[in-house]
Amino acid sequence: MANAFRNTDGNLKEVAKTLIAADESWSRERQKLKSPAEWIAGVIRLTGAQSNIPIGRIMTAQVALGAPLWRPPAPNGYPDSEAAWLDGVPHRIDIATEFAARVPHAEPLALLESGLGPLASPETRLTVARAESRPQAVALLVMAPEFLRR
Amino acid sequence: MKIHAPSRRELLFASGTLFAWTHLPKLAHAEGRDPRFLTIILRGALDGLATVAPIGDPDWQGLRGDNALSLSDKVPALKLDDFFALNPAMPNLHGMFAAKESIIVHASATPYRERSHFDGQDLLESGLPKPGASESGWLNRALAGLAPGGRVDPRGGKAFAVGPVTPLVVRGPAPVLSWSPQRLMPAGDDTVHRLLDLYRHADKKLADVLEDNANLSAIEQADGMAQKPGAAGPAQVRAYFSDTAGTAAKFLAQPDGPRVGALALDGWDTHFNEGIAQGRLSQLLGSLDAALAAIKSNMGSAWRETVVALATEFGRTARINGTAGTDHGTATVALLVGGALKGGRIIADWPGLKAADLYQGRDLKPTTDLRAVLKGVLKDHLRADERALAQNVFPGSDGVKPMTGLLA
Repeated sequence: MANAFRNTDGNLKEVAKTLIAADESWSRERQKLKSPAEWIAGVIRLTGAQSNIPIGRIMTAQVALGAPLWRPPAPNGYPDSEAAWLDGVPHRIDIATEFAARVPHAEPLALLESGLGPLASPETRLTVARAESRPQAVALLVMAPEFLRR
Repeated sequence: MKIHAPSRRELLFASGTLFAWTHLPKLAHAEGRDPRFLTIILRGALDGLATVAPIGDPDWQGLRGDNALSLSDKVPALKLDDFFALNPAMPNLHGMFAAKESIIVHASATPYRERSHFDGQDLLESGLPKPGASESGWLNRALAGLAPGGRVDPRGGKAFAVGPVTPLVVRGPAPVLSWSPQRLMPAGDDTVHRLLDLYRHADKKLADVLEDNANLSAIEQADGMAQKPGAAGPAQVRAYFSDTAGTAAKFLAQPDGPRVGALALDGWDTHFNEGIAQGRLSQLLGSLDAALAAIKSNMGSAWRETVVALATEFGRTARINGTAGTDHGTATVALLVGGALKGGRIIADWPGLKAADLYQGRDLKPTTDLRAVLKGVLKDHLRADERALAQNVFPGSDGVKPMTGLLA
């Protein structure tokens, strides 16, 4: 991309084409972790539990994960590297459990299909299917590596 | 949440009329009774043999060895009769049994014969004869079918559900009054363990982070420091169970409150390190026992009009597995407690524990249909109509006769 920029005298369209044409852009490996806000938003969207989760609980969850909403410590915002959020992953378990408990009429296997579909590994499928209750199944689903990562 | 119960004086003042009772259900009230019925769903498949042990069965010790509760253990099982003994974690239940306020039903199950928690729980709560989607549960349909009489308080005519989400058993046409504890239960060790298992197979970095966290908090816990994230300790479970059940009782005890309610308590899926005499199951049963005591206490004078039914989706394997636990089974216990019961008995058509006696050679065989027990309570305690029970509350259950003689 740097070469494309230099060779075309700063033509951004060419840089963008280089990005899209690169093999790395299409690799299946999801190495990043979703930031707290991305993950929380994903959980709420997937489960459709917006009306059941008090906004205060969402704000508390953001704080617990080290990312108070809209209040990053510096103008360049929150980091998006895996290293920045990895340590906080265990804390996501309690949040997942609480939010999952608030999901009405959860169908965990249907949510797995709509939320992950072909991305879900056989191990994840088995883990979700064998949960002891629907709330636990949903919590395990949103804590699955495929759902934590991007 | 503080509930203000109006005094007689206040009501007279406010309404200028005589005391307004909640006349529900009509027939029971006509008999001068004011019954309360609370259903507790135990999610995860409770090990009936570890809760109420068949100590009198000659094959019991051979079947579970060190994991077989017995009267001669260091912490002995609590004797119920010559054949059965209760897990020593449940002294309150033992006391209720002695005071004839509890009936234990053993070797019972719903019609469900598969091994899925979701389907099993659905069937337990929906009251349908086969697994399948349902919009309503048997308790709600039973309530909807009872004839209200007299002046019905809006709250009394409603079913009562505890939890952030209404359990299926109490969902349906009858209106539902909901209450949820402020602080929900955080994730238990079981959830963390399942995730660790998944991460070890699928994402090493996440596994390492989770393991490090568990190790760190083991140190914190030993130090008495803050509770680790991602694992509800025994004290938290106990508090949650008692809060939830105790509050349900407070609502049901109110003179102008709901009469019928339901809640769910999770955690019973003990595949590994079951901890029957000491450990996981023992702690859970202890918490359940404390919750029963909280119910009795909070019901106050309404306890003598109360029946609480505790049921789980299915039981667990007769034998212990390779990870010191048990897997999904079939028959198990159902518990009834309450002052309205003709208690102090165990109802069981005992199938035996020899290999040939086990269902599919692995589970306790069911000899009593759980629906017979529930129908018996609904019929004799709430005066539900028998035909309505067979057609609407438990569809397809014509062949299942309501159990008689459960109520005093």
